[in-house]
Amino acid sequence: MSNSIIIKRGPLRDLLRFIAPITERRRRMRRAPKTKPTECCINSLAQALHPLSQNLVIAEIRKESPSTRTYVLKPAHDDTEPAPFRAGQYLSVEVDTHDGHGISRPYSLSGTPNESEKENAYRITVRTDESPFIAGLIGREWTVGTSVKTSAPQGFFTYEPLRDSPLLICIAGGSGVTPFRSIIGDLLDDTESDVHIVLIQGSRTSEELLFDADFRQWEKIHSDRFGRICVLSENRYAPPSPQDSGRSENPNAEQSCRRGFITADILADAMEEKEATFFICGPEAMHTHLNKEIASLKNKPRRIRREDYGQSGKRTEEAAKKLTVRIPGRSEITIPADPGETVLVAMERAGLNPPSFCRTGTCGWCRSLLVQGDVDYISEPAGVRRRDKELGYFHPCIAKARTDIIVEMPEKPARRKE
Amino acid sequence: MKSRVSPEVIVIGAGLGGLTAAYDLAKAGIKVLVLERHNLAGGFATSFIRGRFEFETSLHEMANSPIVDFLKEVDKSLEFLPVPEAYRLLLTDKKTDFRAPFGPEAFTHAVSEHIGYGEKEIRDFMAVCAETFEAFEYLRKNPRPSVKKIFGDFGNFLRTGGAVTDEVADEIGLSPEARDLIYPYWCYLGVPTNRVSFSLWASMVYSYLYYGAVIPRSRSHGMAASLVSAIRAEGGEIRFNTEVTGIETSGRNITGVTLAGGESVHCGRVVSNILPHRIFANFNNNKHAPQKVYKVANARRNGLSFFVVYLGLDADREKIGLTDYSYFIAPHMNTPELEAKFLNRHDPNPLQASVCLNAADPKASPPGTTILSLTLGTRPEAWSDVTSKTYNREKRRFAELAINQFERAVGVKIRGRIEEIETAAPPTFSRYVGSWDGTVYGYEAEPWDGIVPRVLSRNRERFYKNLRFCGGNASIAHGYGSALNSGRNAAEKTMADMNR
Repeated sequence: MSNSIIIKRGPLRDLLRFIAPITERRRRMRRAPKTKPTECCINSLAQALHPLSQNLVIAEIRKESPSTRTYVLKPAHDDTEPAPFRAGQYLSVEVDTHDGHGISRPYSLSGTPNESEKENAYRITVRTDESPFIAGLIGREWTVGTSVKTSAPQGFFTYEPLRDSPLLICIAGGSGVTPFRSIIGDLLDDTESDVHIVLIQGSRTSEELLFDADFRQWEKIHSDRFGRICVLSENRYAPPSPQDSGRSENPNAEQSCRRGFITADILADAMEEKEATFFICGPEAMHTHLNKEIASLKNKPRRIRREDYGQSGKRTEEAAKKLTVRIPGRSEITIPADPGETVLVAMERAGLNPPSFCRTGTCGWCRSLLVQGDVDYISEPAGVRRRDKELGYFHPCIAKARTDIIVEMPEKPARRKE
Repeated sequence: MKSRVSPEVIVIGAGLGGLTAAYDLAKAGIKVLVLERHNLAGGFATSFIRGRFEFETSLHEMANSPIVDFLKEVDKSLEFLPVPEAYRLLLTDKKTDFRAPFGPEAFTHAVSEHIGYGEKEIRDFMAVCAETFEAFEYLRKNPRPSVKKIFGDFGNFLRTGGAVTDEVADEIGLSPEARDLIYPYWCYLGVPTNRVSFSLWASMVYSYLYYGAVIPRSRSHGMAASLVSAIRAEGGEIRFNTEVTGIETSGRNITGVTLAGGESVHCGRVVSNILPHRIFANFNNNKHAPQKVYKVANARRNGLSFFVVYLGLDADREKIGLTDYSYFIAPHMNTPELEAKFLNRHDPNPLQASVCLNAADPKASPPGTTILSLTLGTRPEAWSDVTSKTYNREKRRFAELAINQFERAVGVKIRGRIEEIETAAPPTFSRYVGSWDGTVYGYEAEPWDGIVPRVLSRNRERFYKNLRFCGGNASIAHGYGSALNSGRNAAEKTMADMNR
């Protein structure tokens, strides 16, 4: 061993040196406080930022268009604040379908963080219809006073100055404009920000042009930083119906809008040959259409970030597959799975209460193990980790059963009993 | 819902320590149940995806020691990639730019060469580090060590057992310049060289130099996921999204645990991957633990937390100029002064340990892209003025500071190349791991709380007879490889407790 002995000492004194820290340890432990240890600040901050779930209640409903409502959601208890969010994030909302199972849907927050703080509430804007599905259920049943359970704010469709260009081009189709109301409002609220924003707002008709009054006002106040191009796909004029009189419908809306679809020319106009980041949110068909238009651009956007709508697939007439779900420590159950619908939907229909947030295969909250059988994907499973792919993990929110399958799924976390 | 048959051992937490404990127990035919609050295993050692990048959660490399062979036995398909160099050190005040190679001889040579004098002291210091490392290896392999051998071969190990690193360097007369180049790994323990147990520090540094370092090809998550599969294959059970919120005790025995939803699970024994602080302060169902338990916890100081900036860059690392894997960046290597910076989020020139994953794994991200993560030490108190409303802004500010510092020190341009960015701060670790105040490292290893005192005091300090700890708080202290080893140790002790 080394010849560079530090200090020559005898064996006994070596041993004394060696055990000295143990004596010191005993002394310190004798003198230590005998009370329960307490934490500084971090876990309470983390709790406020990322609660497991939030109990909210509908405080107000605003009609945005014939088919769209904004729901103002306040915490059920007055002394609670809604968890803060970054503009562009969404809430996963749990909806009770009355047939013994709950399902969840992600809805973008349409209010700005400042509005949320002022109102002590969130806003989500939902397109409702007469269908027997979620959109119909929300439209029929959500009234002022209805309790709504949601996740904490989720998602990464947020403007990040360290990453995104100082020219932000937001491209929205229909109700895909909801996160942009929050993103744009938030950027305009920030007086130190020098981000320029163009909103290309696609809509079927002018009466379905959401947040029209807000955007007009922002264009006026922030004309140096914000501009909007409206594109209407249906070439007809629908005058506001009498019951819409509360809305500040602008009769000139038609004139100022372009017709048809969002084209490469429109995109190029918005870019003015500058470096730009595109944020796109809208239905699948719009993404597909825009891909072609963007491909033909001479000056390509620096970055493209997309927010996809959650998908469920479509019910088919085909015979159901057998879906066996194992929840470790709890149960194993075999249920039917429509081969046209996602495995997540099948689990929800069976009342298994599976964990899920984004429903686009990205967040990983529904991550499960495919023990046996095959699945087809609705969209590219890009959110699955490399090793998980090798081991057979998948995201049931974007997978449909191709064969009978066996799935191992984690239970949904229980809220801590206080 | 009622649980069926009670498990023999409950492992609380599926961090790396909990996983290896559960694996060894299950393999020995013991009925084991792992309870994990998150939906993934691995604790701090995991990965996440943003866009087309899968990020390692932080700076994670382990000495290519026997624990790596163990992991390869657990899962033959697990691949490990060598880290090319120990580190590149950039001390900006002194304009130091030093590349430290692996291999004790190459390292010693490189340090001597770089400084140009004091080679004898450098060799002596490294020799004492080697002796410490070998003493631990001997003790690990020989549960009943020969006293004669220890006195004969490991005299320096005995004599430095109570020392801090600076004291040993002082005795040898190691020059300040040599300390600058040899000390940087101190941030892997997070305790400055004027307070850290020399034994632990020296064996850690030497094991990296001796074995070289590796990273798992499929990130830490891949390793954790392999262990999950292996535990289940051995008959162990793992429940995710299942938070333990209470322990049930009877006298000096733990009889079971309570889960967040109110369910109780009875068990014969517990291996805790959770810090004793958390177990005793929050899990004791509001019953007071004996004073002794609190005193043992309160005497110890919780380790560091981190702030990490994860960057997915849209160019090859060569194009950006990221030549190295591991960068230590600081104004100087005065470790107590650097430690003081952990309390200040606004210090423009802190200590940064940053990693370009593609330098060890060219396929870490898609062609034409690079993964870079910047890690800065921080303490929970440094975030005490941050509210939930200012949190995002403060994280962005800190991220900008870290990026600026990296760009200045390395002389590369990162901004403009950022395709994905994510940040992690103490609340992030608290959110996903539930650690004490969002800390990442286990208890600080000052000499009195170094490996030897921990091991020799273990029985004396135990109150609950059927509870063993693993993870960063356990007897071999924190670290990537240590956590894995700690679980194996806890399993071994538990089996001994069970006369298995």
